Amino acid sequence: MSTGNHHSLNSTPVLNTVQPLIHAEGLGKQYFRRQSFSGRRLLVQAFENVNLRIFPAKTLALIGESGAGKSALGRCLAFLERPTRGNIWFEGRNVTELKKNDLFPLRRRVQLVFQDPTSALNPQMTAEEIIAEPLTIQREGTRSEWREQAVQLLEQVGLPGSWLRKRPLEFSGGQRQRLAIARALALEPMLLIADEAWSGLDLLNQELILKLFARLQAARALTYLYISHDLQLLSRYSDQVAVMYHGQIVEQKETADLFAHPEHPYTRDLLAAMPPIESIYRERFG
Amino acid sequence: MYIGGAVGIEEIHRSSKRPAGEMINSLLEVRDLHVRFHSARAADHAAVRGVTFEISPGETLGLMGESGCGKTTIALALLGLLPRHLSVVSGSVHFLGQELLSMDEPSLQRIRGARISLVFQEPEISLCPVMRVGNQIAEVIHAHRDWTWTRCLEEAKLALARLGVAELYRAYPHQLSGGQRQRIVLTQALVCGPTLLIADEPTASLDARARSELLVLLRQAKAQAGISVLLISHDPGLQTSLADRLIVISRGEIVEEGPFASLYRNPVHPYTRAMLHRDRPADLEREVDTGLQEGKHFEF
Repeated sequence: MSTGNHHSLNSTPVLNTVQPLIHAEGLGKQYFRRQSFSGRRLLVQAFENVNLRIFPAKTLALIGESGAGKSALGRCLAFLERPTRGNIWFEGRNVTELKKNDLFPLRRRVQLVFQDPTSALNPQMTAEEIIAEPLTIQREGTRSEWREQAVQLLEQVGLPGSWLRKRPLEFSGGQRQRLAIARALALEPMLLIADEAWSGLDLLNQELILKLFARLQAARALTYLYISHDLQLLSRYSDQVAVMYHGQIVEQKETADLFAHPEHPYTRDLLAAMPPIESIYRERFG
Repeated sequence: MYIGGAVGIEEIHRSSKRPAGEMINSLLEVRDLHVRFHSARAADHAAVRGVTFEISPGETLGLMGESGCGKTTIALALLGLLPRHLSVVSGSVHFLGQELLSMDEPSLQRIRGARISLVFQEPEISLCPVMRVGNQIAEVIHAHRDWTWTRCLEEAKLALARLGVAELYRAYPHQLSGGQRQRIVLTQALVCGPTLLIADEPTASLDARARSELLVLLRQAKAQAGISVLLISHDPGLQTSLADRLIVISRGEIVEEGPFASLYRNPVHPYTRAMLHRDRPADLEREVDTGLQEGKHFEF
């Protein structure tokens, strides 16, 4: 495993004085699952020995197939679950052992956008209520301020501000996802974790969502963790790539470096399985 | 891999109700299919609007379109799988000379899994989490053949062996990778030798490696058994590898169709262009960029 900017924690950093926004060291998560019928409890290791650094205003793509442990890792980094081993530092501060009350203000700094916008949005709520919900939970601002922010956020994600009173089912899949993103931005987070946030959508919408993320990153200096199985798509939108296989990170590099010099066999397999469409066409039709 | 083999052309002629002399070119004929969904809150939604297409024996018809365009609705409508109290389906779906839309449920059940099989995007939905996968394949056989359970189990083992994965027989779904699960689902779909396979985004949840493995399987199925495939997928690589003809759907209507090679070389509709030439992201990005710049509120 090699990182572009990797240096031992014990040595004084020479080249790079920028501190990662979020930093995980030796992170592991295991949980018990009850085996059906026999009642035996199985120990399931979601991921182990994960070392990860995400630098401010940069994008890290976490690539792996479903079941590799990436979503579980994403949830730990979003402070929705606690790791069973290892440490997490956020803005240089060790946040692994924080109690629930201390964690609460931290949660607004990290927001998560999921794959299926339909199940992430309450169909009974209007767009305005959905976007403002995080604000009401964190208890800040007045109702008219929330409305104003909701309009602004809708427009920032390319939806008409006049759609405040619409409900999720009146939006298309891609539009629903943009609504979910607007909600994620309401608390002005520093880190956005997108877990397959484009996967259920068609190609045009996938590009649109990623371009939208890129535009927002430039405007707000956001930091991103993209979780996906689609290396080909994400390679165009990430600074670094970490490849996950069976709960371990097997390779982590700057994107161009990963494509040019893949080391781990799994990475090599992944890259080999993505031939350009033109060559597929030629092979078949001549 | 296919018990009893896929139905051949001769059998198609025999089972059809058309006069003996008439040659049948299509396996599946869909004419003017309309699907409307009822909703308590909003106005009725016309999900599919007058779709007409045919699939010939041994042909792979690709279906591409944006999310929400009606692709999956079409697949479900063909097999009478839409909730009857929430949807209205009209038009005609002819399969081997029989009208599927007016068929009763018991007859449809004999067709599903045996004559027409359906594979979805998420293998987790299709597989029972508390049954070993070998038994699940045997279950499909048992539902359509008059064999003893023991015999069905043996045939299931054989089917897996032919795929080169005999050792997965005793596994539970959660012990398998996404790619392996999808192969099990595909085995289930093909085990009774259907004439038509409907695959709805079969590779969408798979990583590149599992995807290319599944592609090999689909190619094999196509070559060996002469099976027809309705391939619903927005994966341009998959369509380029498998589709003989392609239809492009937008908002419930067909906007472009033709032989795959022609559509690839000369796509007309912007969506066709964008999807097939994804490798040239510049084109796609330009579309999206212009849209974002002009402040267009993308309709899709």
